[in-house]
Amino acid sequence: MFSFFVRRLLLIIPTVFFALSFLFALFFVLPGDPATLIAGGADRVPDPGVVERVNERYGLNDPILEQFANYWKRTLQWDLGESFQNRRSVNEILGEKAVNSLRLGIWAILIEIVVGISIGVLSAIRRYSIADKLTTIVTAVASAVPVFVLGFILQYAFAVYPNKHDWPEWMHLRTQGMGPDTWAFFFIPTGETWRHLVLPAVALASVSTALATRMTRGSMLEVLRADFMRTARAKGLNERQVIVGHGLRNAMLPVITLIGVDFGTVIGAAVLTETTFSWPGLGSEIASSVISRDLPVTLGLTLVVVLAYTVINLLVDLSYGWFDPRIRFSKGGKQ
Amino acid sequence: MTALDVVAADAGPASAAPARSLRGEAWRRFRRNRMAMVGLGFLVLLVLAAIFAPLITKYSPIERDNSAFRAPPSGEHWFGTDRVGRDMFSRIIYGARVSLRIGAVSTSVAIVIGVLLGSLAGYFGGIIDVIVMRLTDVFLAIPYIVLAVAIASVAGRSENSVILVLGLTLWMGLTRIVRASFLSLKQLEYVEAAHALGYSRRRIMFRHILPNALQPVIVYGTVLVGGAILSEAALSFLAVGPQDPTPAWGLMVSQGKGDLANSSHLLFFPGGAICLTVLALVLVGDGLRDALDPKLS
Amino acid sequence: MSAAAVPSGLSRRGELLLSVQDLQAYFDTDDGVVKAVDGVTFDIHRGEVFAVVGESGSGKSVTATTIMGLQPTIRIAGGSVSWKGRDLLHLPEAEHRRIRGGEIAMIFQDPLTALNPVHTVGRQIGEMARIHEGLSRKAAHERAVEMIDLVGIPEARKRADMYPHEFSGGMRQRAMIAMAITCKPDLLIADEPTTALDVTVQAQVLDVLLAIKDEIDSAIMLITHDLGVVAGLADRVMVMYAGRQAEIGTAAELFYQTRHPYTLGLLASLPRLDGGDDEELVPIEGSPPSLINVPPGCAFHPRCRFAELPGRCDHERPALRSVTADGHVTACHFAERLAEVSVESMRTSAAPEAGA
Repeated sequence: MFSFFVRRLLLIIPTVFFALSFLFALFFVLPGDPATLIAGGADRVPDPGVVERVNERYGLNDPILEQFANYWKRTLQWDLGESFQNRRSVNEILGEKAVNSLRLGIWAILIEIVVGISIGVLSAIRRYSIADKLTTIVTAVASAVPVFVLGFILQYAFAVYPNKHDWPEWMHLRTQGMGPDTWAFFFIPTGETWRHLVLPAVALASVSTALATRMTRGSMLEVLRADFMRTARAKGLNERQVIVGHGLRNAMLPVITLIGVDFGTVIGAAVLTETTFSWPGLGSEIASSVISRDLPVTLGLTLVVVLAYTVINLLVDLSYGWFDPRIRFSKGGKQ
Repeated sequence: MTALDVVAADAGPASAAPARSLRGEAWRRFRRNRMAMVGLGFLVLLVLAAIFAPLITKYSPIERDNSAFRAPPSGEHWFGTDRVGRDMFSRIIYGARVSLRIGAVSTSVAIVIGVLLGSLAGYFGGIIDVIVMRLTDVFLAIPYIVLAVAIASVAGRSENSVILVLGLTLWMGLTRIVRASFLSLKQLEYVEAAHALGYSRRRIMFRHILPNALQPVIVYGTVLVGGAILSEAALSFLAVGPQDPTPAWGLMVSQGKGDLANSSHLLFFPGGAICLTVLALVLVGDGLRDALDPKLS
Repeated sequence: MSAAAVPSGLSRRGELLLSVQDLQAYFDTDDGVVKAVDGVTFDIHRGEVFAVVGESGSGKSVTATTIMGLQPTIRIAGGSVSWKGRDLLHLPEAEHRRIRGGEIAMIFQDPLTALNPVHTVGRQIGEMARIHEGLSRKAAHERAVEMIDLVGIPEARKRADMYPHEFSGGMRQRAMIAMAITCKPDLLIADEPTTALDVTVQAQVLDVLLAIKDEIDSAIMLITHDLGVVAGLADRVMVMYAGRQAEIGTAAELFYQTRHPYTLGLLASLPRLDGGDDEELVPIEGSPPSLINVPPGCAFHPRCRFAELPGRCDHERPALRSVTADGHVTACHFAERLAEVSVESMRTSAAPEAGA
């Protein structure tokens, strides 16, 4: 187990290194003149004086390899630079926004796990029932609706429409921003904040919940046919004991992998959701930094996202080892 | 994926018919899937509408009607007009051209990359396999929307750069699928027989293994076209996709977002077009998967 | 068919445990009714080894799983299954569960897939004691260790904490046996228990099975496609073909006074250790019929060397009838003619001796 952990941990390093180097090359090597990009963007023509200052400031007149080395030196010291727009340090922006993204993400993943897995299992057990067919249709639709379109549908249905038709005040949900920003235990919204959280959390969860439901259903159907399920029934266990005690954990194996890989989708969806709902998180910040060509912010926040993605996948892999003893022993050697 | 083994094993004594009818059998199963047929019908209509757009609508997608801004749907303008007076219906129809073109071409790019890398990795194994798998890991580690936004911000906002961006960010899943197929197929006896007959490795790879590895690629590719259309819409929405006069659905949603309360048709028609198209592709993909691999259904 | 009137293999051994009368169990599919079990009658008594032999698809496994109540989609079209005098087919599910595992336990063919890969072997064995005897987790674990030891796996305590994939094939099947006998069942149903194993460990596993049977004083219903396995082990044998019962009798009767052409065919296709070099194995020509379209009359007639065609064999389904007083039963119109036919003559004469 320990050597598996170490090997898996070492694998992260080249992945993160190449991912960030790729992004660095994308911004600093490919476009020909990064200063123009930083100062104005590919489609605009900035003032030559500004370009010169940018070159100076970012050391862009240095040879590429030296820039590359400097970039890694700064990154390893966790010096992510400062925003080109407002001179705030990227670390500061990160500290402020990451918390909000985390809160939104926790709720989305809770919804994904609770709703996705339970509906997927029920749908598999009650195969061919009306509820199962409905699940199949709803998940197909949900995976086809772009997150931002769903966001607007939710906004219309739960905020715009109730407003137009004078529904009682307690039924109104909010569509913009985070509200009073009051939380208990870090992630539980209190006061009015919950009105702001509900819609973006649901929108963010939608796609991955649909995926998790489909995956759980398919995997559970497969497990229901397995020989060891018949053995469990032959033991005299009742149906609930058979499914919960013997089926669930086996059915979860592919779903766990999905939740890890799918974390990338969640981040992508977060960029769109946060933009749609003006949620002050990393996603909306990345989107707006790209549009305003605020390169240090884009690079710095992306670095964090890449790290988070890699670490989460590491944790998923490790939990996979816990769920599936075959992996634990074959890859890690016997303790 | 051992979908092929399953199909092979399933075509046991009951249907030991010649290979010719295997495709016919799949089509028969596909036709029985009502949802998939509805999806296929919708796609056929959409393609026809995109091709014959000028015959379907009398309005140009970019010409402005200065007498009608944000007009609600009416007999004159079926889907209303947008904030500068362009006919929404014709923008949606012409937008189908943009979405379908981007979806199909970028998926083709992804398939070429994925099949090439996946078959190399799966067939040769060893160091090539390690390099390819690390490469997919690296690309998967950068959340693809972030990657796409980053590439798009550098590559500019033309339709071709969007295609390039999507092609470069959608190939990883295909690579894994093709690699897995190759890994299981290359151990089968007919491949060993081909080796024994002295065929070249390239011939074995592309003439003997690849055709049998294509089934999952077809299924995944269908769904991927939908994914590409979704991604294109997302890029447009984040203002790094095609630029204004282009009637791209995602861009239209983005342009309409300020009008949610009063002119919601500006959001819901293009949004609905994206949803229906992607849904149709998902349904067809599901139908294909079930038809090609009955055991999974 | 008036199967109820047919004597179904008398035994003077022990208490009557299981009595199956004219069981008909069908699957309704899109393509038609699959008559998986079609008129099967037998008894099992305490202490005996009762073997059920047939090709795959002959209905032997479905017979067993129907008795166990493990076929949720099956339709019982007729007949009865009585367990110690209780009607198993119409028992409330909760009571059936108590019998399942507790009184009748089952061992499956492939121990790798039949064991849950994510639970330790000890836990899976102990679970039996937990549900049927209400043992605590700790006591159940102790019982599991005891059972693992009983089936001859060394270092039982250590083995109990290991997972199925860490066991060898033979050990996995021993673990399955340990699980099945945890609650000292009266009947052990073993469905092809050695088919997935190496030839070298097959005998060991069968030995364990027999020793256990005597230890806990139960009966064994041994399902197999291999008459060779049956020879040394079984007290009585039932041969099945196309969901139907072909012949039933003591092992000696079946081997030396065969009264059904199918049994004869099986014997002729069996290699013999004492056979000479020139001895030929004779396969049964043709393949078993689809259970949706069973041939009219005797299901075996298209493959039978002795069939009178056209005639009774393809028109009239043969009833089960006794050929001896003590329960040798066959379903062949011309059973008496087989008295003159020996397995050796089947092997040497390639030409069919129609009508003997």
